[in-house]
Amino acid sequence: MKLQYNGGNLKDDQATLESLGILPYSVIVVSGDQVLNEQVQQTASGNEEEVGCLSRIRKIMAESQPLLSRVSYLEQQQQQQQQQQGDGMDAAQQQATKDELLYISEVLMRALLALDGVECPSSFTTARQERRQTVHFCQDLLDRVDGLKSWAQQQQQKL
Amino acid sequence: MAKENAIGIDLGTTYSCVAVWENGRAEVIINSVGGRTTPSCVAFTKTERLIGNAAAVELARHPKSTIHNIKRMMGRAYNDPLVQENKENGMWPFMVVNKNGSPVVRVTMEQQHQQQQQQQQEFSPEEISAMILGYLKTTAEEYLQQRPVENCVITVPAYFNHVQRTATTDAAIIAGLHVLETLNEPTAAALAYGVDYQHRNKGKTNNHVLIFDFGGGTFDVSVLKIGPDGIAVQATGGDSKLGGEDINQNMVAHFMQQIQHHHDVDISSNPKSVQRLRDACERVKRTLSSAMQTNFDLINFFGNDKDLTMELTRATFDYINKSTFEKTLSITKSTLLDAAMDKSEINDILLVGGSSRIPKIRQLIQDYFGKAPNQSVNPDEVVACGAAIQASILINIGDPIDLETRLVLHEVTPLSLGVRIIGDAMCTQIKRNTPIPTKTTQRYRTTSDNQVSIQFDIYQGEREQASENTLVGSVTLDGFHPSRRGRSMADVTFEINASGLLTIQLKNLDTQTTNEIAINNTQNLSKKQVKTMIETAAIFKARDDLFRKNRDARFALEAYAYKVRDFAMDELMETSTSKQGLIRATTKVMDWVQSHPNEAKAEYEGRKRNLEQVVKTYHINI
Repeated sequence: MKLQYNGGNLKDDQATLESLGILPYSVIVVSGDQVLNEQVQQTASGNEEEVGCLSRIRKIMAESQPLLSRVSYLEQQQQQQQQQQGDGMDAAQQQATKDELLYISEVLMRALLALDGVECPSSFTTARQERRQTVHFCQDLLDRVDGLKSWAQQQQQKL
Repeated sequence: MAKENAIGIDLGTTYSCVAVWENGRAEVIINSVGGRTTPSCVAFTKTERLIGNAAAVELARHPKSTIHNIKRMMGRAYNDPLVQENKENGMWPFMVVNKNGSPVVRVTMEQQHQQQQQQQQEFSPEEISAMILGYLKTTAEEYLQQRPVENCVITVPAYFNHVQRTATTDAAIIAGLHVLETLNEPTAAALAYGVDYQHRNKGKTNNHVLIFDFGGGTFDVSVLKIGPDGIAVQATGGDSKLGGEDINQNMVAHFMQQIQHHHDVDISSNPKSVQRLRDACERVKRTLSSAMQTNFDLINFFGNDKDLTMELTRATFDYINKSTFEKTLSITKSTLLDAAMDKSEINDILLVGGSSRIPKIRQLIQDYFGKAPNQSVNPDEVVACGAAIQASILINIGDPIDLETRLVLHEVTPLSLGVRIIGDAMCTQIKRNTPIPTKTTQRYRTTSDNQVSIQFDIYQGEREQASENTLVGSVTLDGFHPSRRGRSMADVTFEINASGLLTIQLKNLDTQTTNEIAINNTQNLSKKQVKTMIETAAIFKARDDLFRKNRDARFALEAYAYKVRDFAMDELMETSTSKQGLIRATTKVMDWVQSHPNEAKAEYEGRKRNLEQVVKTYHINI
């Protein structure tokens, strides 16, 4: 949920109204998602906040999911190359692979940190379960990316 | 005639903020991503130059080409111990090299179009700061409906010397800004606060205010006197490497020790785990400013589905940061000593900087001074607001309220000034924290027999040994009659005028001849250098503009293609030829855009016209 005043998000929880320049009849915009009853019933705690946690986790998952195919593609390339045993990639290709790996690991790391930031009290078992799965997904993928990174390193040394 | 606007800029080490005087109050201007403060960060990527929030995101991915913490370099020589120390400590992960004695940042850039080769480019701290200032300028212009904004007041730390202030002004000139004044940060804070203050306490005079500025990376304390006719800085002190980062570091060390103890694992060799822990610490720190206790859990932290669950109470938090917190208090005490004041003489304590939100800090201050610090201003924005108030006063806009509370500022010298005498001793002529304008004269004698000339080396700083201080100028006085040592004498007069310019007058008492120099610093950029930098900035702006135009054209094409496809999907009959035709055409365009993200504007526009033609052939109106 976000509070907006004068076009900007209010981030300082401790600020006084005076210091933010909020006067009588000022308009403050509250923005957030409306929670449906059915959604609440699907959670373990039956708490609206858990729905919020879940939607945040799913959003993070939706951002990381597409990376799976990109990692698989790179792994295929790696395998092909190992089978052929022949000539490696040229410098430009190598740079592209390196950049791609850096990008993927950065996005995954950010997703992981975002997941750590989703606070789930112990009663939110549904959200906790989902968070656990997503963390595992990101970590597994990160490990695979690390594997590819050392391969990319070797390739570069060959040149 | 349109009313002239002037903005106030807080150019910070980690964050910057811009504000303007409007409707009788200082208003913080929100940047293009909705932030009230902007990271002082510039990133050079393959395709473009990013400034602010967009650049801060690049920090982890491209540490070598993302420039931050540049304020610590401003107006300093390459061999300055602080520059060397920061360089060794990894404060700057990017490349800092020596260029004619000044530090410059070297960035490797890849050219997309012209030549497919890497190109190295060097930027002075002034140029990098100019990029940040330019972004803030644009932000202000957009907010003020594209009125060109040129006049500004920029704040600098109270301890900045002449060279550092001039470097800041140079940066503004490169960014196309006209600096009305460089204002001390504590003075700006007091101004933002003083206007409110004087309204509430009419009639009270001579208040002493202590400004406690505890930010992300630096800590500054200043004592100000608010009198009926203005604000005077009485004393300044601080630690340039003490801030919120240290608190985070203490927390990480504490948790690592706990992990070692309970789980028998040393995670310090695993950067990913350390990063997760560090990130969690920042959240815990913020939470503990309002909650008494908090916990966090990091899923699968140790692998094998083993989680890390940790709890921290405010008491423990205060305990592990005890020495850091107490250091701020001891610096505060020594600053009071500098001002020759007792703590009971302080009428108000004003908090600046994000770390001043920590309850323990507030409590320490309250316990020491016997009164609660003032919390009525947002500590992140107060300095910029003060600068905006000063800017409005200087260009004479605003309503009678600010005329009534118009303040005359009395600044002080940030550092002592003196002459090197025999035995490399520093003979201080103007002590630090002396209100300006000021003038002092001292008599010097020859130190050897038959000496016919005396060389005066002018130093700035607090060290007893002159050569440990900063050399700001050197001048020789000759024409003495050969005589025994100590018989020939010279009078040296140091004078600082109201705008802070130092002139030194030397008088040969043998011949009554005089010699005068104004201190011009070799560290500062020459006029010619500034001019070249303005030109480079213009080239960059042109490149940015071109990039933006191309990008906008690409977005327009994409948006149109999506619109057509959505229309075809939703509105047209499944079997119609027009539907299939349109979907085929839009898919083709979208695939092309995907693989050609950096084409020229004309190319995108051409493709858009083609698509419009295709749409026309089906006699459809979208």
